[in-house]
Amino acid sequence: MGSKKGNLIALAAIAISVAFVVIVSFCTSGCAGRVHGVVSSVYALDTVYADVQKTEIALVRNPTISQDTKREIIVVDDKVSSGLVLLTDQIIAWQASRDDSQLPTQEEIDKARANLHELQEVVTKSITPGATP
Amino acid sequence: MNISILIGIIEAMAEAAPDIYDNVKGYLESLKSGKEPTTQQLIQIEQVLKANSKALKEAGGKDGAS
Repeated sequence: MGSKKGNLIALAAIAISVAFVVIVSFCTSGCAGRVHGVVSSVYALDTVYADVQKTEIALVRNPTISQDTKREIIVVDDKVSSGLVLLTDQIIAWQASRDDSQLPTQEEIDKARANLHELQEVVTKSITPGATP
Repeated sequence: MNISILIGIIEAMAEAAPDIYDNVKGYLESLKSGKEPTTQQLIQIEQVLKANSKALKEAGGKDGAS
């Protein structure tokens, strides 16, 4: 019972974070200039990802989650983590130099966003009540 | 859509689940001020991401998932 409630809360958290990424993407692309949009988008993806990580850690520590699912979470997480850390490093370097050639491209940001969506899907699938333990 | 409405929606999310949205607060402040995130904010969030990834791998390794 408690586990089901926990799963529902975690599902709601993931659903809200997906909505958050969509809202932030709209906001940063539609309401700001190119540079501010890039910097804000990367920071927004970082913040959402940091929140998703909390759910991931809880899942990987959960003994009822299968080893295959845990492996899948860790593999996809690694992809998201390396991509976003790289983008964040690029933004930090750009802030120090203000050399626009150091900014990530829109394609790189879109790829990071797509990877984060993939991670959210894996996490959502893992916490769906009735998932194979 | 007005940016203040978007900020309101995000704030409502953060207030509804404060434990989950700890990290969103910094982004909200940047959004409301209209300023880009500072280098310090970026370094801080990057440290959070790295620490969480490390914790995830350690937890996975403990259960034989790595």
